[in-house]
Parts: sequence; structure tokens; C-alpha cells
Amino acid sequence: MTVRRMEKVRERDAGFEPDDRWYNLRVTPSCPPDKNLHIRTGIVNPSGRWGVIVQDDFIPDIVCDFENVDETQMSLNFTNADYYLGIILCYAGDWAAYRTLGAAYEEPIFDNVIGNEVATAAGAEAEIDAFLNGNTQWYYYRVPLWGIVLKNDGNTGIDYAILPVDAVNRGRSYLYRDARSRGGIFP
Amino acid sequence: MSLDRLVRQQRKQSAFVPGADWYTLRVSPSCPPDKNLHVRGGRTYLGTNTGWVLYDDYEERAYTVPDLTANLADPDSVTATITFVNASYYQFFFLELRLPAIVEGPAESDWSFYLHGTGDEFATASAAEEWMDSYDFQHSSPWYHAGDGSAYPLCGLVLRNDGQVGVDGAILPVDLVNRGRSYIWPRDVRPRQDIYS
Repeated sequence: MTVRRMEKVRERDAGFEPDDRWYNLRVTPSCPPDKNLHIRTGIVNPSGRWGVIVQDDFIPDIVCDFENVDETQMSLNFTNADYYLGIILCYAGDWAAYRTLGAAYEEPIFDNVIGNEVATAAGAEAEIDAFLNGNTQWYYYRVPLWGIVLKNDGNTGIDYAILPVDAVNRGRSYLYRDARSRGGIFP
Repeated sequence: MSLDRLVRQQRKQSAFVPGADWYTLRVSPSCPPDKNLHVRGGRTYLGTNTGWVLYDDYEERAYTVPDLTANLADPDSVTATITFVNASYYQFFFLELRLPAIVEGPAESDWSFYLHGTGDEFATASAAEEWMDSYDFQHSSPWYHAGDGSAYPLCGLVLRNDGQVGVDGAILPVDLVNRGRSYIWPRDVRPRQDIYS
């Protein structure tokens, strides 16, 4: 491929570049992986379909610390060693909604959709897949972000007993799939 | 700019190429064109108000939609029968995705489409396109289908009659742009939210 042709291809491709909305509320792990996740800034729409509230809200960069039960409402205390737990990480409705009114509504930041402890990563992924295929009406007053598989670190009966969260499944906890909604927190 | 530098820059940028999210529920014609439209799958959130009035009755669920094909000549596929009174005239529709027949864990066969139109026929393609902006089209009902769920608009369609009147599904193949047959226009009317939000 010649330089001129490559330049032409790039000029043509530039017309198809998505806007930055695609990166809104994107979730990434720490590097090296730990028990924190980094959620990129973005716009959410806490608008009610009945017209009581019609607003957009700007959410700043947020770090989700899985060792803070006040923020996540999850103690992550496993009954079975080395088991997996599938969750959909979601911003809590109050936390998102009250921001638009200028109120300090600090905690809890997250209101997650939580599956069951299962023996395999595939089992946890299947639970997340089911949530994302019409199973249960969990999407209400939440901002869905990402499907995550958390793996127990071998300790049972202890809080926050998960392995660090990786970008893909390398035998630890990992980010499974995008679950962001384009809609608001009120269906 | 040297070739090496361009190659390196492309490799670096490739790491930032967005995933399939942007392409979710995008509509493409067949090649060569026929009466089928192909809808790319992906994750979406669809809602229904089973109680019609009270917002408390509103349900919204997350779905992973499979790749689907809408057959415009098949009423089972698009929940509508297209028939013309005037030969070679045009009709304007929105192609919409319906809430699946089985709400929890639907299979591919549970998905179907809905053609939202008014039945008005136009002699020219431009008149059919202008119909989208008209008061009569914008206030036509239903945008929903019966009482069983909302419909999620995907694209507009200008369908041209193939010369046969009074015959179901008598349309010319659907092209990507207007080449004298039926065609997709506007290409993309996907909302960021469902139509009730």
C-alpha cells in the first residue's frame, strides 16, 4: 500500500468516526489489576417518561472500590471458595438523580444487579447474559454500566474476598461485557 | 509522513476502534437488492406499558438482539400487508423492531418487526420522503403495535410499487439509495431512548 493510498483511506475513514458519546461511562480496570474499577465521565438522562423530570446530568470520572460496602452495597462475602459471582455494575438512581438538583447524595453510589455464586466463569457469564436478554425487570432507577464476573480469592466468610479485576478472563475477576443503556434511569 | 510512521500510527489507533455498540440495530439491504432487510444484532433496552396510562405499569428490559431479517412481503415478519391502489406509486414507512413475543429470554423466532405507515400513496419519491415531516404522518397512530409493547424505530423506507395493484407485497426490491426502486430513507432513525422515554 502506498503512502498516498493510506492517507486517502484514513481521510475516508475519518468521516465514520463515532462521537465521544461512545466512550461515556466506559469501565476499565486498574493497571496492574486491583479491586478498583475506573468509570469514565459521561452524560446520563435521569428523565422521567411522564415528564416530571426532564434533565441530563454530567457524571464525573468515578472509581468503584469493591472494598467499600458503603459505595457498592456489596460485602462480597463468599460461601464457596473460588466460586464466581456475575454482576451488572450500575449507578444508583438516587445518586444520579439528586446530582441534577444540586444536592449532595454521596452514598451509595452503586446499586448493582447481583447473580448467584456459581462454580464456573461460564456459569456467571450465562447469568449476566440472561439478565441482558429480558430476564427480570431489573432495569429501573439505575444506570447500567458493565457486566463483571467476580472470582473469590479462596477465602470464605470474609468480606471483599475477590481476586483483582482484569480486562479479560485471565483466571481472576474480569470485565465481561458492556451493559450501558442509552436510556434514562426511569423507564 | 513516512510509510513506517503511518503504519505505526494506524496500529496505535486500532486499539481505540469502538466495538459493535454503534452498529447495533443498523439496517442494511440485501445484495443484490430484494424484499429482505438485514438488521444487525446487539444489546438494547426496550419498554412496554402494559397498563397504558399509569407509569407504574411501565416495564423496561435489557435485550441482546440476534441478527434478524425483515421480509417486507411477509406479514408475519413485519406485521403489515403492503398493497397499492396506484401502479408504480410510492408509500412511506418506518421499519420498527417490536418487543419480543416472549418477554423473558426470547429466541430469534420471537422477534418481529412493525411497518408504521399511513397507506397514503405518492406519485414521486420526493413526495413520499416529504410525508415523514407532515403533520398527518407525525400524528398517525399507532407507533406502538396494539397493546403488547412499544416499537423501536430503525430506519425509514420509501417503497415503490412494482406495477401490480391490489396485490399483497407488490413492491420493487429495496436498495440502499434511490436508484428507481424501493430504497432506505432516512438511513438511521434509531432513537437513543425508546419512544416512551
